[in-house]
Amino acid sequence: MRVVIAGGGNVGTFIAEDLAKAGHDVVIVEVDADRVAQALAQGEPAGVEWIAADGCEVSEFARAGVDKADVVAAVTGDDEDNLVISLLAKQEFAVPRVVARVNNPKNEWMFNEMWGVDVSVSTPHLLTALVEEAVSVGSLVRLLSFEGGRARLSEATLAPDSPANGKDLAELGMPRDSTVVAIIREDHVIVPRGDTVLRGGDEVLVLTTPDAEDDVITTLLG
Amino acid sequence: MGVVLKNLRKKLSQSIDDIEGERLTGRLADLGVQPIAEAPTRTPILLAGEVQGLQVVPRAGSPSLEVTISDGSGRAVAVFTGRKRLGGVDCGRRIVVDGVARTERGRMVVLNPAYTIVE
Repeated sequence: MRVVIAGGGNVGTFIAEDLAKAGHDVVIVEVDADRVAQALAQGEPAGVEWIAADGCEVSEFARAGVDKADVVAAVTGDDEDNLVISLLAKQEFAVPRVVARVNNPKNEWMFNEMWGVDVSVSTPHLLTALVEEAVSVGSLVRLLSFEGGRARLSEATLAPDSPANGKDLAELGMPRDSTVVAIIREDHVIVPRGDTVLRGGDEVLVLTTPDAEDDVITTLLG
Repeated sequence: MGVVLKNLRKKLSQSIDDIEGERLTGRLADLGVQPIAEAPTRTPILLAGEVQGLQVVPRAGSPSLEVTISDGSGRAVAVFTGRKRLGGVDCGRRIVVDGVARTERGRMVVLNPAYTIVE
């Protein structure tokens, strides 16, 4: 696949290296000519093409061969730039898949189809989810969003007094539009079945739509 | 007389789609733009067609206007994000759009093109 990465900072360089190793055709577009010269002099990362151009400018961005790209990743440290790059990639070059990095979580609401973004990745949100997941018992923690937020993978650690304790899944009756995908109990992954009985301390992984989330909380956590 | 009869027979036996296609092709011929069916994707192009449908569709929680144009050879959809209507773009008008097309769920889609109303 041909991948164009906008932004040659730490994130961009790292992704480029990974993708080039996986055998993809990778181009980095970086606005800072000194950074490009430095990267070329060091020859790093191997097998990656660098282009000194401003991704926010259509004519310059075109020099990276965006019209042939399968994926564009906008991963600069600036949310405004990432949005402009995403919109240009979608509107001017009809790129099939546009991935954008969210730097400030306050801006995440804008990273959607309106701005040409197919997938947004927010590092701070991912980190808070992971930290929450590590410390919280008795609440539902969102781990991942799919399909532009239409489905979520969430995790709940059952407290000792949870209403779900001692019930099997069939008896529990998970709400419509939600399903238990796995139960983690004492380092073991249990594949859920109708007769699987829940216990306090279980980590329950649930796939749910945003609308069904409240019902899931009531069912599992009370 | 033979020609007249031949034309009459053609008119009576032709399918409605064919007649409609011929009408559209004739109506757009003077613009000299390539047929929609032959237009390439992912490169800047001009498409001309008769507006056959206007639809306001929610995209990511905001309205966008989808204008379906047809030139007899095929159809294309021009999507204008954040708009509910465009002055002058109504059904039956001839318009020329200038943008980059892609195929989305079997439809040819041009996102936020520049457009010219011909009549």
